[in-house]
Amino acid sequence: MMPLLELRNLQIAIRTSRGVVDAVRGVDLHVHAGETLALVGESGCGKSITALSIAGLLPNGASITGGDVLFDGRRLNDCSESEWNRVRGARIGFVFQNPMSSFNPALRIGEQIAENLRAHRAISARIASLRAVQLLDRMRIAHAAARARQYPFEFSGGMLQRAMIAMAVACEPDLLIADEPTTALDVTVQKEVLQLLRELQRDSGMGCLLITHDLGVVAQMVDRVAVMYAGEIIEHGPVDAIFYETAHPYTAGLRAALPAAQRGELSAIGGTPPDLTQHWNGCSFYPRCAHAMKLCAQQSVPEFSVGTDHGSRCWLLHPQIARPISSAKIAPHDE
Amino acid sequence: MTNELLRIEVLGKCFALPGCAPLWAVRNVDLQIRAGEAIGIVGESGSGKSTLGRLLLGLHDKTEGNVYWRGERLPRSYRRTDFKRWAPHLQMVFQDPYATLNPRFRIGDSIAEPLLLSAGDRTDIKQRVGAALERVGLAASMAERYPHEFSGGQRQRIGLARALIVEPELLVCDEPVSALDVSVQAQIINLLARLRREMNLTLVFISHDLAVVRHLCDRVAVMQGGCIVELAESERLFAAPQHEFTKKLLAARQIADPRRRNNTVT
Repeated sequence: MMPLLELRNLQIAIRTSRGVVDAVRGVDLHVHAGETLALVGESGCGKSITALSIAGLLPNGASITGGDVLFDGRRLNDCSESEWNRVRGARIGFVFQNPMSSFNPALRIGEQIAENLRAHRAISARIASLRAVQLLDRMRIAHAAARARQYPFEFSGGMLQRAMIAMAVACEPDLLIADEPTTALDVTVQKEVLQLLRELQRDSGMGCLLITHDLGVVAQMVDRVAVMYAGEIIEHGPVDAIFYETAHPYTAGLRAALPAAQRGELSAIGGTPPDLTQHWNGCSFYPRCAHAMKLCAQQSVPEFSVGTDHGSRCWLLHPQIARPISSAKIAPHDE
Repeated sequence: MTNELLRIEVLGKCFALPGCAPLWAVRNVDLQIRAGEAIGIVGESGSGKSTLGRLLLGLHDKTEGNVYWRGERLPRSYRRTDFKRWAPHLQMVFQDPYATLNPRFRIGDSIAEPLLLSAGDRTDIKQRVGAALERVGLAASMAERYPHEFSGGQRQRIGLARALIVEPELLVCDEPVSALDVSVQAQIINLLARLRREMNLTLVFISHDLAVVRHLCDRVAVMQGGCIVELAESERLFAAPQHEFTKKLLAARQIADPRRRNNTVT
C-alpha cells in the first residue's frame, strides 16, 4: 500500500547569523492512512521544522536542500504558492502548539473556521458558518452557536486548542499534523483533546503525524514512533517495540531519564546535542553515548533492521558486533 | 507538630481586578511544613499554587491569615527591611530563569545580588559566587559570562546558585523543570535531590507534573480553586487518592508505558 505521506532523504538547511544550520539531515519516514506516527525528540532536534516543511510553511531562511516530500504520491517540494493553498488546510490540516498565537485575535472564532471552509469548498457563507458551529459542537464545546460568535480571548487555552482542531479538520483532511498539540494544556484537558483526536481518526481514517517530546503521550496515543536526534531519525518502529525492544542508546536514555516512582538518581544523559552548523563523521550521538566504540566516531551509521518495521542507526546492532543495548537501562518503566 | 518550620494559617489572597469580581487566588489554606521535608504542591493552571508559593516569600501581600516561621509571624506586607530580614531563610527559583536573570548582568553579579540585598556577611563575595556555581555543577569561571551564553538547563542551575548562595533553610521551586527536555530535567531533579541532602533544605515544590512530584516529594498537597483539597504522604496519595479532583488528575496522566493504555476509544 502506498503511504499517505512519505519523506525520502529529506534535508533542510537554515541560514542564520551563526552560519548554515543543517537542521534536517536525511530523514526517511512514512505515515499511512488511519495511523498515527509520533515524531519524538528534544528541543532543537529538527522535528518541528520537518513538520513545517510538509505543510509548505518553512520560515524565511529555511529551505529544502535535498530529498522528497511525497503526499498521496505527489511531490510537494516544488509546489507553487497557489498549489500549496489547495493542499494546505484542505488535504493537510495543521494544529500548532500555541493556539492563542494561531488565531486572529480580531476575528470571531466561527468566522475563522468558516473562512477556511470557504477557501476550499464552494459553499455559501451561511452554510459555512453553520458548519463551523457543528464542528465546534463536535469538539464538545458547549453552547457552540454562542461560542462561535466569540473572540479568541474569550476562550480558555483548552477550548481554543479544540477550536484549532475544529479548524484543522474542517475540510476533512487526509493528513493531520499536530505539533505539540497538548503541551501547553493541563493534564485533564490534555486527556480530552487527545481523546478527541483519536475519535476523529477512528471516524475519518485520516493519518496523523504527532510531533511531541512527551513519551507519556506517545505511549498512550500512537501506533508507530520515529525518534529524532540532531536532524536524523535514529530509531523508528511500532510503539511497543520502541518501548520494550529499544534498539538505540538515545531512546533508552530518554526512557531512563523519566522520573521514576522510587527515589534515587535518575539516569540523565550527560552532555549536549552537537552543533548543527558543524559537519562530523560517525554517529551524532557518539559524544554522549555510554556504549561508544572507536568505530562510532569514524563511520556514519547505516540503518540496521531489528524487527518488523523496526530500524535503528547504531553500530552495536552490526551482526559482527551485536552487543545488547544495556538492558538494565531499558527495563519497563515503573509508574 | 514537632520540627515545624513553617505554619500557614487560614491564608488567603484576593486580587482586585478592575471591572471584575474580586478573585480569591488562595483561600483558607492551612499547612504545616516540617524542617527537612519536601512537600509538593500540585494542581492545574489557575489553582493558586504559584500564588501560594509567592505568599510564603512575601512577593504578594497576604489578604488574610498568617504565616509563621519557627513560631515567629511573617509580615503581612513586606517592606525593604523585611526582605533583608527574611531573604536569608527563604528563597525561590522560577520556571524560566532566563526571565529572572538580568540580561545585562554577568551571571556572577546576578548570583551575588541576594548577598548584597540581605543583611548578612558581605566578605569574600567572589569566592562565594564561585563556590555557589560549583555546588550546582558549573565552573567558577563561568561567573564572567552573560545569561544568553547558557542553555536552559544551565540557566536553571544559575537560578539555583543564586537562590542558594545565602544558604536558606527553605527553598520554594515554582515549576523548575517544566520548560526542560527530559534528559536535562533528570539532571536538574538529581541536582535538587543532592542539594536537599547536602544543605539540609526544606523544599516546597510547585508543579503540574505528578511524576516529578512523586519522585521528589515526601508529601503532596493538591490545590483546586485556591484551596488545598487533599494533603497526604506521596505514596498514599498516589496509591489511594481520596478527593474526586485528585482521582481525576491521576486518571488523566499519560503514562509512558504502551501496555498501560487507558484510552476509552478503541
